[in-house]
Amino acid sequence: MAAMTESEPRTDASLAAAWGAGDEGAAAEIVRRHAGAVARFLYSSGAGRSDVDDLVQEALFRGFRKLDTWRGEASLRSWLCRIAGNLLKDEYRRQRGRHLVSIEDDQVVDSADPHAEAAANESEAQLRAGLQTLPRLQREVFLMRAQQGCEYGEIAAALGTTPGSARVHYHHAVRRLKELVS
Amino acid sequence: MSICEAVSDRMSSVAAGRSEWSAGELAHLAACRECAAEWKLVSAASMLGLGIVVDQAGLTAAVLERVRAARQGDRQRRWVARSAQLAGLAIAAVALLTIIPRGRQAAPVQPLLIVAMQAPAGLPLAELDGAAPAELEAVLTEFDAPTPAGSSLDGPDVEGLDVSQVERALRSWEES
Repeated sequence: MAAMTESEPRTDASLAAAWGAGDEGAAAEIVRRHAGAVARFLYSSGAGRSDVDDLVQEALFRGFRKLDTWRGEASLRSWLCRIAGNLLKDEYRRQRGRHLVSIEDDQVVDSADPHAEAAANESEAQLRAGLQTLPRLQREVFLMRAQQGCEYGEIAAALGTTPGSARVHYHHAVRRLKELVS
Repeated sequence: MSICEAVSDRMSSVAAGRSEWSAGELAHLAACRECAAEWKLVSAASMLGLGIVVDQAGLTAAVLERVRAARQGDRQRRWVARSAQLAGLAIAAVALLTIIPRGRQAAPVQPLLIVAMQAPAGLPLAELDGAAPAELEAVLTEFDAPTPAGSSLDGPDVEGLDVSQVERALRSWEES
């Protein structure tokens, strides 16, 4: 029975509580679960690939510093993405409007089908560029929904809006992206 | 809810790998250009940035080190704040201990006692401050002179009276 309990994955809430009690192993598990998602969210939101590591570190640092304020209405991942989004906004302001989108050549990876890979990279670049033209809330709702797989309720909790409003933002984002990307 | 809305609501779940399209949904996606375009966007977004690799061990170590340093800074700030509070309290306590005894000395009891004890020599008579030595001497001489007869205090000798006579005399003084 005890072995079964030990094998059950710990919830984010229990990890957060353990971290609050000083368990650094819980912090490591939180990083393992969510750092990649936060990195992808930042990258998709316009952070340059070379900046992603520093931004993820900063977002997680800020998250751990105020983890006791996370109430669990939003998932921990969407809550961390929200912090990352705020961080990116601050970074954007700090750089006085310099566009953060950075489509580097090193995104192209070796492939058995270079043409297909190039097309995929072009498609990805188009999508990233299109995302940059969206208002921030539309972009974050779209990414939380389409990339992170969040429900409208948790998106609303993370972004401080209502599920209905989140749904509307998502559909506006989709409509604009269809025009820009297709 | 229309079929387009239903399919749209299922897209994130399918893109995240939590579920799969049903045959009916696949048929709809094949027939509906709008839904197909949305699905293309959602599936592309779900793969966006998949090539980004995070050094989790290094990241964890760096984040925890920063958090530890920040907590240490917090503790130091709290210690400084508490020290300042304690110092303030200590200063306030010293000030109170210094002021309260002075306040007690200044209380009316002690000066009255002093005045009472020193009354013969220390009666405050401001009108004598500017008097010349000869005038002061005259005043003192007047004080030393016997009280004139007829004074209410030095009236007839009361030593020979009994208690009832003394009471009558006192009553008559009170009434007068």
